[in-house]
Amino acid sequence: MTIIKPVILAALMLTTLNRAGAVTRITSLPYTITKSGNYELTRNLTANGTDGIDVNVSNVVINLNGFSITQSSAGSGTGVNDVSSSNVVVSNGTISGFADGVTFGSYSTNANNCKVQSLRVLGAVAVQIFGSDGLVEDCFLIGTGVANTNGLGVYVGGPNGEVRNCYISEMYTGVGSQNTGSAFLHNNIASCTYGLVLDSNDYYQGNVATNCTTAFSEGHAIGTENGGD
Amino acid sequence: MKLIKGISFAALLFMPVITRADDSVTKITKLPYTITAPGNYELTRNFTVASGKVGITVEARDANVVINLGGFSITGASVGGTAAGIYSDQGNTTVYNGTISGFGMGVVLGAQGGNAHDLRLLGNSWGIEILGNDIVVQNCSVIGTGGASFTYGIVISENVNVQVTGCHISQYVMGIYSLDPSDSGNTFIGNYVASCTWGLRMSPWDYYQGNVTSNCGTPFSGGNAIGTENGGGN
Repeated sequence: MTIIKPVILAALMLTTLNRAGAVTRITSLPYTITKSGNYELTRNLTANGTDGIDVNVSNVVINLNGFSITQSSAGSGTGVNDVSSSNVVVSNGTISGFADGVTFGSYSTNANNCKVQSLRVLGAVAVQIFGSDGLVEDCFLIGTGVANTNGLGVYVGGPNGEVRNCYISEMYTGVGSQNTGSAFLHNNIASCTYGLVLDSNDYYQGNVATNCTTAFSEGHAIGTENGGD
Repeated sequence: MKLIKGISFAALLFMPVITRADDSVTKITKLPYTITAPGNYELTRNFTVASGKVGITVEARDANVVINLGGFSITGASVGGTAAGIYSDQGNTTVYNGTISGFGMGVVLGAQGGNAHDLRLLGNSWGIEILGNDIVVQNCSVIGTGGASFTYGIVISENVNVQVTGCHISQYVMGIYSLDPSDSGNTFIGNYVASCTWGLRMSPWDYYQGNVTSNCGTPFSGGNAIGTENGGGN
Protein backbone atom coordinates (compact mmCIF):
# COMPACT_ATOMS: atom_id res chain seq x y z
CA MET A 1 0.00 0.00 0.00
CA THR A 2 2.83 2.38 0.81
CA ILE A 3 4.27 1.68 -2.63
CA ILE A 4 0.98 1.90 -4.46
CA LYS A 5 0.13 5.38 -3.15
CA PRO A 6 3.12 7.19 -4.61
CA VAL A 7 2.82 5.30 -7.87
CA ILE A 8 -0.80 6.38 -8.22
CA LEU A 9 0.13 9.93 -7.31
CA ALA A 10 2.93 9.92 -9.85
CA ALA A 11 0.63 8.52 -12.51
CA LEU A 12 -1.91 11.26 -11.83
CA MET A 13 0.78 13.89 -12.12
CA LEU A 14 2.01 12.47 -15.41
CA THR A 15 -1.50 12.45 -16.82
CA THR A 16 -1.88 16.10 -15.87
CA LEU A 17 1.45 16.98 -17.45
CA ASN A 18 0.50 15.34 -20.73
CA ARG A 19 -2.78 17.23 -20.85
CA ALA A 20 -1.09 20.52 -20.12
CA GLY A 21 1.48 19.88 -22.85
CA ALA A 22 -1.25 19.40 -25.43
CA VAL A 23 1.20 17.92 -27.91
CA THR A 24 0.43 14.44 -29.15
CA ARG A 25 3.44 12.19 -29.33
CA ILE A 26 3.88 9.99 -32.38
CA THR A 27 5.46 6.81 -31.12
CA SER A 28 5.14 4.41 -34.05
CA LEU A 29 4.62 4.30 -37.81
CA PRO A 30 2.43 4.24 -39.80
CA TYR A 31 0.51 6.97 -38.00
CA THR A 32 -2.67 8.67 -39.19
CA ILE A 33 -3.64 12.14 -37.96
CA THR A 34 -7.39 12.68 -37.84
CA LYS A 35 -7.59 15.49 -35.28
CA SER A 36 -6.25 19.03 -35.66
CA GLY A 37 -3.43 19.92 -33.30
CA ASN A 38 0.26 19.66 -32.56
CA TYR A 39 2.26 16.46 -32.92
CA GLU A 40 5.85 15.56 -32.23
CA LEU A 41 8.34 12.74 -32.45
CA THR A 42 10.23 11.70 -29.36
CA ARG A 43 12.63 9.29 -31.07
CA ASN A 44 13.62 8.04 -34.51
CA LEU A 45 10.91 5.97 -36.19
CA THR A 46 10.89 3.49 -39.09
CA ALA A 47 8.16 2.60 -41.57
CA ASN A 48 8.14 -0.81 -43.16
CA GLY A 49 6.78 -0.39 -46.67
CA THR A 50 3.98 2.00 -45.67
CA ASP A 51 3.60 5.77 -45.50
CA GLY A 52 5.16 7.31 -42.44
CA ILE A 53 2.50 9.81 -41.33
CA ASP A 54 -0.82 10.38 -43.11
CA VAL A 55 -2.58 13.68 -42.45
CA ASN A 56 -6.35 13.54 -42.92
CA VAL A 57 -7.37 16.82 -41.26
CA SER A 58 -6.43 20.51 -41.58
CA ASN A 59 -4.62 22.68 -39.02
CA VAL A 60 -1.85 20.30 -38.04
CA VAL A 61 1.70 21.03 -36.87
CA ILE A 62 4.19 18.15 -36.95
CA ASN A 63 7.49 18.78 -35.19
CA LEU A 64 9.98 16.01 -35.87
CA ASN A 65 11.98 17.40 -32.97
CA GLY A 66 15.32 16.67 -34.61
CA PHE A 67 14.45 12.99 -35.08
CA SER A 68 14.07 10.99 -38.28
CA ILE A 69 11.44 9.05 -40.17
CA THR A 70 13.07 6.30 -42.21
CA GLN A 71 11.67 3.87 -44.74
CA SER A 72 13.09 0.35 -44.39
CA SER A 73 11.67 -0.75 -47.75
CA ALA A 74 13.61 1.69 -49.87
CA GLY A 75 11.64 3.67 -52.43
CA SER A 76 8.14 2.94 -51.17
CA GLY A 77 5.49 5.02 -49.43
CA THR A 78 5.47 8.71 -48.54
CA GLY A 79 7.13 10.13 -45.45
CA VAL A 80 4.36 12.61 -44.67
CA ASN A 81 1.33 12.35 -46.91
CA ASP A 82 -1.39 15.02 -46.82
CA VAL A 83 -3.84 14.37 -49.63
CA SER A 84 -6.10 17.39 -49.25
CA SER A 85 -5.77 19.08 -45.84
CA SER A 86 -4.75 22.74 -45.49
CA ASN A 87 -2.65 24.61 -42.93
CA VAL A 88 -0.25 21.74 -42.29
CA VAL A 89 3.32 22.33 -41.11
CA VAL A 90 6.14 19.77 -41.05
CA SER A 91 9.44 20.86 -39.52
CA ASN A 92 12.69 20.12 -37.85
CA GLY A 93 13.93 16.63 -38.71
CA THR A 94 14.94 14.07 -41.32
CA ILE A 95 12.86 12.00 -43.72
CA SER A 96 14.71 9.37 -45.71
CA GLY A 97 14.27 6.40 -48.02
CA PHE A 98 10.67 6.95 -49.11
CA ALA A 99 9.44 7.17 -52.69
CA ASP A 100 8.21 10.66 -51.76
CA GLY A 101 9.35 12.70 -48.79
CA VAL A 102 6.51 15.13 -48.11
CA THR A 103 3.43 15.54 -50.30
CA PHE A 104 0.75 18.18 -49.81
CA GLY A 105 -2.30 17.65 -52.03
CA SER A 106 -2.52 15.69 -55.24
CA TYR A 107 -3.08 16.32 -58.92
CA SER A 108 -6.83 16.41 -58.22
CA THR A 109 -6.99 17.93 -54.71
CA ASN A 110 -5.46 21.07 -53.20
CA ALA A 111 -3.79 21.45 -49.84
CA ASN A 112 -3.38 25.17 -49.19
CA ASN A 113 -1.14 27.17 -46.84
CA CYS A 114 1.13 24.22 -46.11
CA LYS A 115 4.74 24.53 -45.09
CA VAL A 116 7.92 22.53 -44.64
CA GLN A 117 10.72 24.10 -42.69
CA SER A 118 14.15 22.97 -41.59
CA LEU A 119 13.83 19.46 -43.00
CA ARG A 120 16.44 17.08 -44.35
CA VAL A 121 14.82 14.92 -47.00
CA LEU A 122 16.94 12.17 -48.49
CA GLY A 123 15.40 10.31 -51.43
CA ALA A 124 14.34 10.56 -55.04
CA VAL A 125 11.36 12.92 -54.62
CA ALA A 126 11.58 15.32 -51.70
CA VAL A 127 8.70 17.82 -51.44
CA GLN A 128 5.57 18.21 -53.60
CA ILE A 129 2.95 20.91 -53.08
CA PHE A 130 -0.41 20.96 -54.83
CA GLY A 131 -2.25 24.00 -53.49
CA SER A 132 -1.78 27.72 -52.95
CA ASP A 133 0.70 29.48 -50.67
CA GLY A 134 2.94 26.50 -50.08
CA LEU A 135 6.23 27.40 -48.43
CA VAL A 136 9.48 25.45 -48.38
CA GLU A 137 12.30 27.06 -46.45
CA ASP A 138 15.64 26.23 -44.93
CA CYS A 139 15.58 22.64 -46.22
CA PHE A 140 18.32 20.25 -47.31
CA LEU A 141 17.07 17.97 -50.08
CA ILE A 142 19.38 15.30 -51.48
CA GLY A 143 18.33 12.90 -54.23
CA THR A 144 19.66 9.65 -55.59
CA GLY A 145 21.46 10.99 -58.64
CA VAL A 146 20.53 12.29 -62.06
CA ALA A 147 20.16 8.82 -63.55
CA ASN A 148 16.78 8.59 -61.84
CA THR A 149 14.66 10.75 -64.13
CA ASN A 150 11.87 10.83 -61.56
CA GLY A 151 14.15 12.67 -59.16
CA LEU A 152 12.61 15.96 -58.02
CA GLY A 153 13.68 18.26 -55.22
CA VAL A 154 10.64 20.52 -54.93
CA TYR A 155 7.52 20.60 -57.06
CA VAL A 156 5.17 23.57 -56.74
CA GLY A 157 1.82 22.99 -58.39
CA GLY A 158 -0.24 25.87 -57.03
CA PRO A 159 -0.17 29.69 -56.97
CA ASN A 160 1.80 31.89 -54.57
CA GLY A 161 4.26 29.17 -53.62
CA GLU A 162 7.65 30.06 -52.24
CA VAL A 163 10.89 28.09 -52.03
CA ARG A 164 13.51 29.92 -49.98
CA ASN A 165 16.99 29.22 -48.66
CA CYS A 166 17.13 25.55 -49.66
CA TYR A 167 20.05 23.35 -50.71
CA ILE A 168 19.01 20.83 -53.36
CA SER A 169 21.25 18.34 -55.14
CA GLU A 170 21.55 14.98 -56.91
CA MET A 171 18.10 15.32 -58.47
CA TYR A 172 17.08 15.03 -62.11
CA THR A 173 15.06 18.24 -61.57
CA GLY A 174 16.01 20.47 -58.68
CA VAL A 175 12.90 22.64 -58.62
CA GLY A 176 9.85 22.25 -60.85
CA SER A 177 6.82 24.53 -61.02
CA GLN A 178 3.66 24.60 -63.10
CA ASN A 179 0.63 26.86 -63.43
CA THR A 180 1.58 29.07 -60.57
CA GLY A 181 3.05 32.51 -60.15
CA SER A 182 5.46 31.58 -57.41
CA ALA A 183 8.85 32.72 -56.17
CA PHE A 184 12.17 30.91 -55.78
CA LEU A 185 14.57 32.85 -53.64
CA HIS A 186 18.16 32.31 -52.60
CA ASN A 187 18.43 28.58 -53.16
CA ASN A 188 21.57 26.59 -53.98
CA ILE A 189 20.99 23.84 -56.52
CA ALA A 190 23.77 21.45 -57.40
CA SER A 191 24.39 18.42 -59.61
CA CYS A 192 20.94 18.27 -61.17
CA THR A 193 20.14 17.76 -64.84
CA TYR A 194 17.70 20.68 -64.57
CA GLY A 195 18.17 23.29 -61.88
CA LEU A 196 15.01 25.37 -61.83
CA VAL A 197 12.30 24.47 -64.35
CA LEU A 198 9.71 27.13 -63.78
CA ASP A 199 6.38 28.32 -65.04
CA SER A 200 6.26 31.38 -67.26
CA ASN A 201 4.51 33.28 -64.43
CA ASP A 202 7.17 32.50 -61.82
CA TYR A 203 9.97 34.71 -60.50
CA TYR A 204 13.38 33.82 -59.17
CA GLN A 205 15.99 35.80 -57.35
CA GLY A 206 19.41 35.13 -55.88
CA ASN A 207 19.64 31.44 -56.80
CA VAL A 208 22.94 29.73 -57.48
CA ALA A 209 23.19 26.56 -59.58
CA THR A 210 26.34 24.47 -59.94
CA ASN A 211 27.01 21.37 -62.00
CA CYS A 212 23.55 21.51 -63.55
CA THR A 213 23.16 20.72 -67.25
CA THR A 214 20.39 23.32 -67.61
CA ALA A 215 20.56 25.73 -64.74
CA PHE A 216 17.41 27.82 -65.34
CA SER A 217 14.39 27.30 -67.55
CA GLU A 218 11.53 29.80 -67.99
CA GLY A 219 10.35 32.05 -65.19
CA HIS A 220 11.49 35.65 -64.80
CA ALA A 221 14.87 36.39 -63.29
CA ILE A 222 14.90 39.33 -60.91
CA GLY A 223 18.09 41.29 -60.53
CA THR A 224 21.58 40.11 -61.29
CA GLU A 225 22.13 37.65 -58.48
CA ASN A 226 20.97 34.44 -60.20
CA GLY A 227 23.72 32.41 -61.78
CA GLY A 228 25.72 29.24 -62.15
CA ASP A 229 26.14 26.58 -64.77
CA MET B 1 5.14 8.42 8.18
CA LYS B 2 4.51 6.00 5.36
CA LEU B 3 2.29 8.55 3.62
CA ILE B 4 4.94 11.25 4.00
CA LYS B 5 7.51 8.94 2.47
CA GLY B 6 5.23 8.34 -0.50
CA ILE B 7 4.66 12.03 -1.12
CA SER B 8 8.37 12.75 -0.75
CA PHE B 9 9.13 10.05 -3.31
CA ALA B 10 6.76 11.59 -5.82
CA ALA B 11 8.02 15.07 -5.07
CA LEU B 12 11.62 14.04 -5.61
CA LEU B 13 10.75 12.42 -8.90
CA PHE B 14 8.69 15.17 -10.45
CA MET B 15 8.63 18.48 -8.63
CA PRO B 16 12.17 19.63 -9.44
CA VAL B 17 11.47 19.19 -13.15
CA ILE B 18 8.22 21.10 -12.95
CA THR B 19 9.82 23.89 -10.94
CA ARG B 20 12.73 24.30 -13.31
CA ALA B 21 10.46 24.43 -16.34
CA ASP B 22 8.41 27.20 -14.78
CA ASP B 23 11.27 29.27 -13.40
CA SER B 24 11.02 32.30 -15.65
CA VAL B 25 8.09 31.70 -17.96
CA THR B 26 4.45 32.30 -17.15
CA LYS B 27 2.24 29.74 -18.83
CA ILE B 28 -0.92 31.01 -20.44
CA THR B 29 -3.54 28.39 -19.74
CA LYS B 30 -6.70 30.20 -20.79
CA LEU B 31 -7.84 32.88 -23.21
CA PRO B 32 -8.80 35.73 -23.16
CA TYR B 33 -5.71 36.63 -21.12
CA THR B 34 -4.39 40.02 -20.01
CA ILE B 35 -0.70 40.57 -19.31
CA THR B 36 -0.14 43.23 -16.71
CA ALA B 37 3.48 42.62 -15.75
CA PRO B 38 6.70 42.46 -17.80
CA GLY B 39 8.18 39.02 -18.40
CA ASN B 40 8.13 35.92 -20.57
CA TYR B 41 4.90 34.17 -21.38
CA GLU B 42 4.08 31.05 -23.38
CA LEU B 43 1.09 29.14 -24.65
CA THR B 44 0.63 25.58 -23.46
CA ARG B 45 -1.87 24.39 -26.04
CA ASN B 46 -4.07 25.57 -28.94
CA PHE B 47 -6.84 28.00 -28.02
CA THR B 48 -10.10 29.12 -29.58
CA VAL B 49 -11.42 32.59 -28.76
CA ALA B 50 -15.10 33.60 -28.90
CA SER B 51 -16.27 36.14 -31.44
CA GLY B 52 -15.48 39.75 -30.54
CA LYS B 53 -12.90 38.83 -27.89
CA VAL B 54 -9.19 39.66 -27.94
CA GLY B 55 -6.99 36.63 -27.40
CA ILE B 56 -4.13 38.20 -25.43
CA THR B 57 -4.02 41.84 -24.32
CA VAL B 58 -0.75 43.39 -23.16
CA GLU B 59 -1.24 46.16 -20.63
CA ALA B 60 2.09 46.02 -18.82
CA ARG B 61 3.49 49.55 -18.92
CA ASP B 62 6.54 49.81 -21.23
CA ALA B 63 5.87 46.16 -21.62
CA ASN B 64 9.13 44.26 -22.09
CA VAL B 65 6.86 41.33 -22.67
CA VAL B 66 7.82 38.27 -24.71
CA ILE B 67 5.05 35.95 -25.84
CA ASN B 68 6.13 32.57 -27.20
CA LEU B 69 3.23 30.82 -28.85
CA GLY B 70 5.18 27.60 -28.51
CA GLY B 71 4.18 26.35 -31.94
CA PHE B 72 0.54 26.46 -30.89
CA SER B 73 -2.37 28.38 -32.41
CA ILE B 74 -4.90 31.00 -31.39
CA THR B 75 -8.06 30.75 -33.46
CA GLY B 76 -10.77 33.39 -33.43
CA ALA B 77 -14.21 33.87 -34.92
CA SER B 78 -13.91 37.59 -35.60
CA VAL B 79 -12.86 37.98 -39.23
CA GLY B 80 -14.15 41.35 -40.38
CA GLY B 81 -14.50 42.62 -36.83
CA THR B 82 -12.11 44.66 -34.71
CA ALA B 83 -10.92 42.05 -32.25
CA ALA B 84 -7.25 41.06 -32.32
CA GLY B 85 -5.49 37.81 -31.68
CA ILE B 86 -2.79 39.64 -29.73
CA TYR B 87 -3.13 43.33 -28.88
CA SER B 88 -0.44 45.44 -27.25
CA ASP B 89 -0.53 49.20 -26.79
CA GLN B 90 2.70 49.09 -24.82
CA GLY B 91 6.27 49.17 -26.12
CA ASN B 92 8.81 46.38 -26.43
CA THR B 93 6.38 43.56 -27.00
CA THR B 94 7.66 40.47 -28.81
CA VAL B 95 5.39 37.80 -30.28
CA TYR B 96 6.75 34.71 -32.00
CA ASN B 97 6.52 31.04 -32.92
CA GLY B 98 2.93 30.09 -33.65
CA THR B 99 -0.28 30.57 -35.62
CA ILE B 100 -3.02 33.18 -35.26
CA SER B 101 -6.11 32.92 -37.43
CA GLY B 102 -9.66 34.16 -37.75
CA PHE B 103 -9.42 37.65 -36.22
CA GLY B 104 -10.04 41.19 -37.41
CA MET B 105 -6.34 41.81 -36.72
CA GLY B 106 -3.88 39.01 -36.14
CA VAL B 107 -1.32 41.01 -34.14
CA VAL B 108 -1.40 44.67 -33.15
CA LEU B 109 1.84 46.22 -31.91
CA GLY B 110 0.84 49.64 -30.70
CA ALA B 111 3.94 51.29 -29.25
CA GLN B 112 7.64 51.67 -29.83
CA GLY B 113 10.08 48.81 -30.07
CA GLY B 114 8.26 45.57 -30.73
CA ASN B 115 9.00 42.45 -32.72
CA ALA B 116 6.82 39.87 -34.45
CA HIS B 117 8.66 36.92 -35.96
CA ASP B 118 8.18 33.36 -37.10
CA LEU B 119 4.41 33.65 -37.08
CA ARG B 120 1.75 32.17 -39.35
CA LEU B 121 -1.16 34.60 -39.67
CA LEU B 122 -3.93 32.92 -41.62
CA GLY B 123 -7.29 34.32 -42.62
CA ASN B 124 -7.23 37.50 -40.54
CA SER B 125 -8.76 40.64 -42.09
CA TRP B 126 -5.56 42.49 -41.22
CA GLY B 127 -2.51 40.32 -40.61
CA ILE B 128 -0.29 42.66 -38.58
CA GLU B 129 -1.05 46.25 -37.63
CA ILE B 130 1.86 48.41 -36.48
CA LEU B 131 1.17 51.57 -34.52
CA GLY B 132 4.62 52.29 -33.11
CA ASN B 133 8.12 53.23 -34.21
CA ASP B 134 11.18 50.97 -34.35
CA ILE B 135 9.35 47.67 -34.81
CA VAL B 136 10.65 44.63 -36.74
CA VAL B 137 8.49 42.01 -38.45
CA GLN B 138 10.41 39.04 -39.81
CA ASN B 139 9.92 35.55 -41.19
CA CYS B 140 6.14 35.64 -41.02
CA SER B 141 3.59 34.04 -43.35
CA VAL B 142 0.64 36.38 -43.67
CA ILE B 143 -2.10 34.86 -45.80
CA GLY B 144 -5.52 36.44 -46.18
CA THR B 145 -8.75 35.38 -47.75
CA GLY B 146 -8.77 37.33 -50.99
CA GLY B 147 -10.29 40.43 -52.35
CA ALA B 148 -12.52 42.09 -49.74
CA SER B 149 -12.15 45.85 -49.34
CA PHE B 150 -9.54 47.24 -46.98
CA THR B 151 -7.79 44.06 -46.07
CA TYR B 152 -4.13 44.45 -45.26
CA GLY B 153 -1.34 41.94 -44.87
CA ILE B 154 0.90 44.30 -42.92
CA VAL B 155 -0.26 47.85 -42.26
CA ILE B 156 1.97 50.52 -40.80
CA SER B 157 0.21 53.61 -39.54
CA GLU B 158 2.14 56.85 -39.08
CA ASN B 159 5.38 55.31 -37.92
CA VAL B 160 9.09 55.51 -38.58
CA ASN B 161 11.91 52.99 -38.69
CA VAL B 162 9.75 49.91 -39.07
CA GLN B 163 11.36 46.96 -40.88
CA VAL B 164 9.56 44.08 -42.57
CA THR B 165 11.87 41.34 -43.76
CA GLY B 166 11.63 37.77 -45.05
CA CYS B 167 7.84 37.59 -45.00
CA HIS B 168 5.41 35.75 -47.30
CA ILE B 169 2.27 37.82 -47.80
CA SER B 170 -0.62 36.93 -50.06
CA GLN B 171 -4.31 37.28 -50.80
CA TYR B 172 -4.92 40.79 -49.47
CA VAL B 173 -6.00 44.02 -51.11
CA MET B 174 -2.87 45.64 -49.67
CA GLY B 175 0.10 43.35 -49.17
CA ILE B 176 2.27 45.85 -47.32
CA TYR B 177 0.79 49.29 -46.69
CA SER B 178 2.79 52.21 -45.38
CA LEU B 179 1.18 55.28 -46.85
CA ASP B 180 -0.03 57.37 -43.94
CA PRO B 181 1.34 60.93 -44.00
CA SER B 182 3.72 60.39 -41.10
CA ASP B 183 5.21 57.11 -42.33
CA SER B 184 8.89 57.67 -42.90
CA GLY B 185 12.08 55.70 -43.23
CA ASN B 186 10.48 52.29 -43.05
CA THR B 187 12.27 49.44 -44.86
CA PHE B 188 10.98 46.38 -46.65
CA ILE B 189 13.61 43.77 -47.43
CA GLY B 190 13.44 40.32 -49.00
CA ASN B 191 9.71 39.78 -48.84
CA TYR B 192 7.52 37.80 -51.24
CA VAL B 193 4.11 39.36 -51.91
CA ALA B 194 1.59 37.49 -54.06
CA SER B 195 -1.99 37.76 -55.24
CA CYS B 196 -2.61 41.21 -53.77
CA THR B 197 -4.28 44.14 -55.49
CA TRP B 198 -1.39 46.30 -54.29
CA GLY B 199 1.87 44.53 -53.47
CA LEU B 200 3.95 47.10 -51.58
CA ARG B 201 2.25 50.49 -51.25
CA MET B 202 4.74 52.77 -49.57
CA SER B 203 5.30 56.36 -48.55
CA PRO B 204 7.77 58.51 -50.50
CA TRP B 205 10.21 58.21 -47.60
CA ASP B 206 10.33 54.42 -47.37
CA TYR B 207 12.97 52.09 -48.88
CA TYR B 208 12.76 48.59 -50.29
CA GLN B 209 15.25 45.99 -51.47
CA GLY B 210 15.08 42.40 -52.74
CA ASN B 211 11.31 42.05 -52.71
CA VAL B 212 9.54 39.77 -55.20
CA THR B 213 5.90 39.94 -56.22
CA SER B 214 3.62 37.82 -58.35
CA ASN B 215 -0.03 38.07 -59.33
CA CYS B 216 -0.27 41.60 -57.91
CA GLY B 217 -2.28 44.32 -59.70
CA THR B 218 0.24 47.02 -58.76
CA PRO B 219 3.43 45.35 -57.52
CA PHE B 220 5.20 48.45 -56.17
CA SER B 221 3.95 51.94 -55.44
CA GLY B 222 5.90 54.78 -53.83
CA GLY B 223 9.04 54.18 -51.82
CA ASN B 224 12.63 54.15 -53.03
CA ALA B 225 14.03 50.99 -54.61
CA ILE B 226 17.54 50.03 -53.56
CA GLY B 227 19.55 47.97 -56.05
CA THR B 228 18.20 45.80 -58.82
CA GLU B 229 16.74 42.96 -56.78
CA ASN B 230 13.15 44.16 -56.51
CA GLY B 231 10.81 42.82 -59.13
CA GLY B 232 7.91 40.69 -60.17
CA GLY B 233 4.63 41.36 -61.77
CA ASN B 234 0.99 40.89 -62.20
